[in-house]
Amino acid sequence: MKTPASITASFIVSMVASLGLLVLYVLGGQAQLEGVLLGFALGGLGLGLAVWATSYMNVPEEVEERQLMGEPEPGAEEDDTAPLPGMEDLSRRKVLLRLLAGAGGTLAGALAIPAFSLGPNPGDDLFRSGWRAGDRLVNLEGRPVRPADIPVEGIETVFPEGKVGLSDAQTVLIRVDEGSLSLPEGREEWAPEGCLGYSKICTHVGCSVGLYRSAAQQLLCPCHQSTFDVLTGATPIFGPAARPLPQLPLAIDADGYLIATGEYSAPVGPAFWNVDRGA
Amino acid sequence: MTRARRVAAVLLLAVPATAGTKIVASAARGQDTPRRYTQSEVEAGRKLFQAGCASCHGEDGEGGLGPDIREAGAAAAHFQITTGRMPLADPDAQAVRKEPAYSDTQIDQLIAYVASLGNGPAIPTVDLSGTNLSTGAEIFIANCSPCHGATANGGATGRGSLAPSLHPSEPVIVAEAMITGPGQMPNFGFDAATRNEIIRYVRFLQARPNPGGADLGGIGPVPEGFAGLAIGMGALVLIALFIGKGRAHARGGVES
Amino acid sequence: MIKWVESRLRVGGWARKGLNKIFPDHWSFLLGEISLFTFVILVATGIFLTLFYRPDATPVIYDGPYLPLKGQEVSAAYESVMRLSFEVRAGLVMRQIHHWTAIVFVAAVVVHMLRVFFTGAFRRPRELNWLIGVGLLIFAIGMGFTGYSLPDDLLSGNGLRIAYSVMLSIPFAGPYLASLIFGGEFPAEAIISRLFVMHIMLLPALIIGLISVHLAILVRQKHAQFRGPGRTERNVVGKPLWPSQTFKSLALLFLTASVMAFMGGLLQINPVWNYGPFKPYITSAPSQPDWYVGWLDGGLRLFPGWDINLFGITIAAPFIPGVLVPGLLFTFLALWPFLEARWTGDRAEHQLLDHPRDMPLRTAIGAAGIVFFTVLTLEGGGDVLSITFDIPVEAITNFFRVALFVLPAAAGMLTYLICENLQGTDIHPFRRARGVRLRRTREGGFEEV
Repeated sequence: MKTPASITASFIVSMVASLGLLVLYVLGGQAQLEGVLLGFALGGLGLGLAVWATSYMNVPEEVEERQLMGEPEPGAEEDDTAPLPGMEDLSRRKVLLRLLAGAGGTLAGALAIPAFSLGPNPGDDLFRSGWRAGDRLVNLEGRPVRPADIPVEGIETVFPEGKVGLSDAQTVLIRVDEGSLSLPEGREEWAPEGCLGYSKICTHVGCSVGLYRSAAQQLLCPCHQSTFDVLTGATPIFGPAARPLPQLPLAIDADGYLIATGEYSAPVGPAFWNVDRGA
Repeated sequence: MTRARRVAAVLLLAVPATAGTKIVASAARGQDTPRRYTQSEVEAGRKLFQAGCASCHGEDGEGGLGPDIREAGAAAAHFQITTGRMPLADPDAQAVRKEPAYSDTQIDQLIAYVASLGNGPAIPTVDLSGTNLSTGAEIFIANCSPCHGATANGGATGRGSLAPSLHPSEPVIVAEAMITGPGQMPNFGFDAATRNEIIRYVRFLQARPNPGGADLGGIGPVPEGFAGLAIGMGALVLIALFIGKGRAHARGGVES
Repeated sequence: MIKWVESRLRVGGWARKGLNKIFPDHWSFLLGEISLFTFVILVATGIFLTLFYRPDATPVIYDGPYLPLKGQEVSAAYESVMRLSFEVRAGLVMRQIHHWTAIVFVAAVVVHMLRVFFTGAFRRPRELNWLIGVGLLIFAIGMGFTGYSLPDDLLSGNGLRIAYSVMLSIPFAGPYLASLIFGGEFPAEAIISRLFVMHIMLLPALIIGLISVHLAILVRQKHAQFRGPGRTERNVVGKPLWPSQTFKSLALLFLTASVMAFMGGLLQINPVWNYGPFKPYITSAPSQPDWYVGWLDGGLRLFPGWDINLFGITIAAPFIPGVLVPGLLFTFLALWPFLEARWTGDRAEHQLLDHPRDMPLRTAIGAAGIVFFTVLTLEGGGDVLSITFDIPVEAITNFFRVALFVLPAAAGMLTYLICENLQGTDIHPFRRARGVRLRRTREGGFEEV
């Protein structure tokens, strides 16, 4: 049986147009071209099917009896195991059927790919917090904070100046007795006058760690009870969190206000597959 | 009267402490400014202290089993003793609210003694005039709700400690807690105005304004889920049992 | 009128057949109907709420009658929920009925499913309807979670944050998937309108579609029945749809709605005004989801803080309790009819239901499953248990870490033994034995004691 070239061509045009759509999407898209390509992708399929049905399917006309609505239902039984007419002819069109499946699949792919429009590529967003060296720490009212503003065993939520409310930059500022600190190596200068800055985002699943047990000097997450030891660099001591709260290196500027001297000790928030590898 | 106004009126009625009410630390004692205690009060307090407190806090409040309280001040002493938290039988247990162990006079004497030990904070004055419910609510939710809960009903804070419910707390007690940071509570360093705003909202919550009906404890989805399953699903199963009568399907049963 | 329609559509035959359809009577067969009717109530109240809700994260200043929030910056979504609660007549009661019904809806689906499981109603030819049921359960939970998140309050906002973080933990795909679903790094503004589309369009369409197929299959296959005199694999004994079963169903619809109305009016639920608007840097305590997500939250609490590092790739701690285990459990649940058929070798059609005692292994596994989910759910409320019973939250978590494995095993074994013991008898475990005690008389006859 000869495969009709017109149908083949239609399906191939559809497939090429769908592939074109995929490429165009990756390249950034263009409304008119997208419309035209989608038109060809759908039209090629439709035209191929139309030519196939009108010119290459030899199914004889049949007569079905009609009952008037006022008449009783006929009891005629049909043999529902007999093959449907035209099946044999259809199953011999192997090439066309494959092309049809190919064109349909490519079109489905082209139609699915705009799902990537739903959100940006995360890139290195997950590794940046919004703190820059020199940023002053300000409280929720936007006022810069001096060590003396925080009582020992006190706690305050702070942000970089000008970025109050920025989720990734939320930091708890805790003041403790300097002598009791035993921070990890290399962080000796990070806590001027006993002022500690830790990311407020729980490293488990991201709730705000605002529950401070001041006598025990532990931070606790209200969501899943992960507990962090403030004196040793917010290391987890109970609960489901596996990672310490990242610490923000602090210093005091010429006017006596607390500033950050750089990024946190680690990416903030819950872990993900490449958290230790970098973007 | 529009519906909005009616709702507002209902909500306002639920709050006895509206702006303009002045709540003084203790009506009986009436400390408005840091109170001067007489030498005889201090001396009587010292005796009480040595009998009931010195075993933990040391002969002169320098600490021992318990913390050094020389800088605790009248505020901490008032908070701890009037709420019955001190004296504490077991120094490892969390101090919780109970009946005070001393009479009002004795309490005054003890406060006088503790205040005389150093320069700790005096009993604060709570003044709700000019406060704004919304300001207090915002600060409360940001700073207090992580431990005490959004409805001030209290919460677990780990290691067996708990943030108590604020519903039985008089305004001055709430203020003292904020100043002294008792137990595991951090010291927030709020100024007097901020404290008053927060207390205004605590007073609002204490009135339990629950426009939606019974609050089921006001601690969120756990009791809600329990009520949904026990009351809701329970009632529906009973209804199904009632409607699905003719349940003689156990083996050998007969269709009724 | 009927004649006029009939002479144009000729459906009288079908209708008569339909109305004569036989449904067996048993109270537990009404659990599926309760699921359906709670869904109907959800749609009805939901349409009302939709008319007032705004799926919009744009910040606005709240200026309504609820004084503690007056002048604060809130999202338009939260503001619309506040307006709906305090300024729209009948708004608060509608919202509360909707929320209570959602809680009971998922419960009804679960209880209905348990009935089907324990009586073996999933066996051939009903495997397809079991699969649809599992799908409906998942969509019902999805409906609940998306609805819970719509008010954009502090409590639900943290729930979304947790959902985002669990997605983030999926190896390789996590960061992309989370970004695509939330429209960027949390907290992204797009999520509110997306949740709304999910909650009022996609999920309801899926649920309505699946319910239709579920019921069509039920009608086609006819209802299963318990064993009893005159009941065989080849008949169905019960009463016709018209009139008694129709009236019973109508009664059940109204009584269900009535229970929901009582709850919605008398019991306050999800007071978003107390929680305040969502801010990404505040979490209040206690922090819980609605009950049907509680077991997932419990798993997150229970799992120890292990970040597994494989060749430089981090398997973050939430992945196992948050994605892997639930995925496996739902797969196991969906495949159960096929697994059981493979183990028992029983591939025959079954129209007569099992008594749970007659299938001790299945019943034991089901009981173990219930205990497993109960332990996880209780752990999800660990901090509330801690204040209620004055036990340290750490002790509760450590206890449940062991109990999660021990208690289901014990419950399973105990159930198995009970089933074996009951098998020889007709005793109903919860009901007094029927019948009378007889005594042999001197004459050789019998008399009642």
